[in-house]
Amino acid sequence: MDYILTTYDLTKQYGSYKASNEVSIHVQRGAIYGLIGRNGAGKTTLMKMIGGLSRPTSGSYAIRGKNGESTEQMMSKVGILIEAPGLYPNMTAMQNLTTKAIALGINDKKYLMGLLEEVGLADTGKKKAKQFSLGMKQRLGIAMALVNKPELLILDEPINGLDPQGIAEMRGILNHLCHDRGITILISSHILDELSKVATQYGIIHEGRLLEEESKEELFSKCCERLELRTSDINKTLEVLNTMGFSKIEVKDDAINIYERLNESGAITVALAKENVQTNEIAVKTEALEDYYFQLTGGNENV
Amino acid sequence: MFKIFRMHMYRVSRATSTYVLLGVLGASMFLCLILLFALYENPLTAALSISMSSTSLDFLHLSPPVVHLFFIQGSNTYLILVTIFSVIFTNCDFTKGFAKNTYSMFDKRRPLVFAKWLALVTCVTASYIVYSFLSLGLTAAAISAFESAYWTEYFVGFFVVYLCLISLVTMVFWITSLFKSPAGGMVIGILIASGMFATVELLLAALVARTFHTDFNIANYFLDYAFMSYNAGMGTLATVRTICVALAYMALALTMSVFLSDRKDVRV
Repeated sequence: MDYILTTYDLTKQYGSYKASNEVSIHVQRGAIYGLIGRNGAGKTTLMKMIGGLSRPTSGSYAIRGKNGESTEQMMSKVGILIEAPGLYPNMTAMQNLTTKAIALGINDKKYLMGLLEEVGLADTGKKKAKQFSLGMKQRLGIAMALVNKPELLILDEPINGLDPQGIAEMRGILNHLCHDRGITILISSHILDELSKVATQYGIIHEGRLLEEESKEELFSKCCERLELRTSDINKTLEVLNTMGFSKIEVKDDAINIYERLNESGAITVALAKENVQTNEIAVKTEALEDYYFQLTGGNENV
Repeated sequence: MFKIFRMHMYRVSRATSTYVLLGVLGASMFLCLILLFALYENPLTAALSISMSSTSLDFLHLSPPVVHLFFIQGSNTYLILVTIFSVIFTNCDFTKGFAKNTYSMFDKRRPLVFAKWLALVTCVTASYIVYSFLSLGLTAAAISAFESAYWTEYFVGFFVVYLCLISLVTMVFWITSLFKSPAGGMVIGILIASGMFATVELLLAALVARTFHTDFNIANYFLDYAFMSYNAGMGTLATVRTICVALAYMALALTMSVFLSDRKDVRV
């Protein structure tokens, strides 16, 4: 696997409290990695450590697989937008971008204008950042994070507080950055449904610990609609399902999950009966991402 | 480091507060000039009771050192404005959250803090030079009582007061970085710049003198008291002492600011 970011037991401890507890994540190059967790789960702490804003108590991380690089070398290819975008309210979008560009030694107005065009802020002219809507501020924050031409973009709750249109615009920008520019994105959000529309890899974090890390396919296979089948003989059942042409099948404990042709439960029951296999249970089950998350973290408060 | 210095200079040049403070400074200079005019251009001059036992300066004659003393130390406005500027300058990128854009990209924060301090010192130096020479030029042009004398004392005073000013600004730079909000640094900075602490220090000095029956004046070793009470006619010993006090405080505050920066998380 080609990982752009790997963390090794990254831990941040404040007194006796571990805000991040031995978290090891693996972000594939070109992925949109969604970090899911409730308030105080440790998402921001993790992102701050990766973004170089907070020193880990223990553990380490590698960007582009180069563990021995200095933070400065690693961070030259990382763009961050953690919580609110850090903007000077009395400056225009271009002036805010220029301020960061000067710090990086970039003196190319065309390039900066290109960034503003990319996030849809090219026509803001002399309008000051304090007059921007929340969505515009977030988009400018992303443009700021892009100034150093990052390979990895770290976005902490970028859609928090946005209206539906703002969320859709943000989704468009994220897809553009990932698919057209090949930027890997590590994003956290409370809005699981929205995150599920863009993320291709997921890490579920709870009370500072990483509970699960899986691909979109793996996660959706656990969350989407399926036929859950329990019979007297699993092996014979699999043979019958094979004969019937089912291929998206998963055996989990004593159940068989079927992810296609969900309306054929009757035909399956009849076919099994012909082979003297007793059907104990057959039902369509649905588990939303949110339900799955609650099941993992053991509650639905404050997500 | 130079890039960070340039960045701070750019943001200062675009900040509204810079121009507001410059406006207030201009107005303050104008008021000081009117006051000087009132004091030295009419019979009230004779009633001038400004006198300092420890100085050889002649306050009855409006010479360059007197003008400098009057505009910089005599009127607290300049010091208070410089303090306000320093607090805003130091705290702004943290309160607005911009610091995370720069701090995240560098392994060591010390050069960042040093570059920021250098930018602050550059701004204050520019304001000091312009304010000093402009006030001197305007006084010379507008008040006929102005006498071109004591130039050596003037330049010695100019230099020593400059050192004290940069030292004060560095102290404010350090104190401000200790507080989350700019209010803490602002209050302490203004208390120092307005001379309120100097009164306490003078009381402390009196207490020490009375308790230990000594002539040693401990207040001379507090930066703000040394700064407020210094003037060009005080003699070599007082001048050297004031320079040493200013340099010591500056070194302490800068070292603390730079070394503490690596230990803290950047607020987002």
